[in-house]
Amino acid sequence: MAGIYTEITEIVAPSSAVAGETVDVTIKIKNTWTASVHVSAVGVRDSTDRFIDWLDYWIPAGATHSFSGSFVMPNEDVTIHAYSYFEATDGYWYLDDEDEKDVSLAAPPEVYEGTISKKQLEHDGTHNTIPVYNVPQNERGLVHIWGRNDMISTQRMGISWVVKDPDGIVVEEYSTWEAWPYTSPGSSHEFIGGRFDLDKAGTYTINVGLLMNPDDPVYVDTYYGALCTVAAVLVPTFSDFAVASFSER
Amino acid sequence: MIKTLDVSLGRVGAVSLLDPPTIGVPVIEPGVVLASGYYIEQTSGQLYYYDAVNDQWYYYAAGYIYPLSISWIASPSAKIDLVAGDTLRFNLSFKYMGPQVTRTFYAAVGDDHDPGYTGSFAEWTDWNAEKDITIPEHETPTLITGKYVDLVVPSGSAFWDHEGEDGAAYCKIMNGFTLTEGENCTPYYCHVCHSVPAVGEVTEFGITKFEKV
Repeated sequence: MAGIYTEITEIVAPSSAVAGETVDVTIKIKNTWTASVHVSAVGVRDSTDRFIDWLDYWIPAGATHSFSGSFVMPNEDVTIHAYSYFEATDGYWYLDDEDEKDVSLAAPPEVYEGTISKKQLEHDGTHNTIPVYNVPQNERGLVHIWGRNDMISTQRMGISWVVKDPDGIVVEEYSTWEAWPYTSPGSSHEFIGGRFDLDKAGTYTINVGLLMNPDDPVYVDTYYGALCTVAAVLVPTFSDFAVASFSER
Repeated sequence: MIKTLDVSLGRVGAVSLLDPPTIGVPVIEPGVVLASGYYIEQTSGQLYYYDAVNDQWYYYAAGYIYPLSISWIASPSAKIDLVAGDTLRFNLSFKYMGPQVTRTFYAAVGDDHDPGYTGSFAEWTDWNAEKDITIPEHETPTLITGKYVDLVVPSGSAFWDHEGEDGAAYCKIMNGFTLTEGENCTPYYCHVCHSVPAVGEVTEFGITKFEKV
């Protein structure tokens, strides 16, 4: 319901917000009079927090002006109360229009929690914790990664990793989501990639991430670092082979 | 009497520019005769072409064929005169990197040519020798000297067949599928030795019987 001189045409605010979130509010007031009116706006949250505090503006006839402020969402539903005042010829302010809008408390987004609980490199029939040192050159490697569900609900976990050789060339890319049944709280799931050659001396690296929530994947743990060091195998190599001299004995 | 000509020159003479560093000349077992045509080395898969008329190997790459050969270069030592029973010593020099290994080194003498010749090496029958040489582990390329192969000059027809001839020589490391100069084969050395004709001797000269004629 409009006032004599003004009308609150809209309270712009979200319908819900998470506790602790900053809620931005805009009160739009229209001058419905035939001449300019000196208008003040007041915005109050639950009659306790005046977050728009007597902001005034001369609004031309027929125009709309926006008054903005914000508050921090408490841990409960709130109601925004908006008021418009006009300044009369006697210099006093008089209430002219009011409106309100509810902002409900939104549930916080689920926080996914998981841990890369074990990392192993399999080579030549042995399993060793990553990073592994002094792997003989020319063996084949196989990565095993265990992801643990640290939440109180069963989760479907995913994995993604990239292995690079000492020259930075990708030798294995692997990613997958675990199949049903998924991982119960506190339990772990083992992911096994594909085999690749460890044919270069030096340090192989792996970037691995543990994921949850397939619909909107979230990395819950990562490991970026050394996978293993490969020790060069000495290969018999001859060079500059010549007869230095011939002699008779 | 020992006549030694130690001229340690390492790699001597002009190195062949014909062969790429990783392509060797195929090794053919003695007595095997090949026809002209393409051959594939089973281990490496390398394709070769053999020209039987000119005894010339080629390797095939990217649609082209390139000639392969071992260089013929001057001997590092003065020509050595040899007679049956003499020993010709091949004083070896090479760099080695790797674990301790034992390799069989093979030395041979054959038909002589001048430096720059591009044909293959025709060995003289029985003018060869083998020796197992153990090389200790080296983690970096290390110059190895002091190793040698002794070749005893044969007697009998093997010697007489080449009386008065000059001989060339080379050495290789056995068990390779191909010969790669500098890696498992030395260059072919020209004018290494000369087979001195044996001088006839008459001994215990006497008259055993007189007859009236």
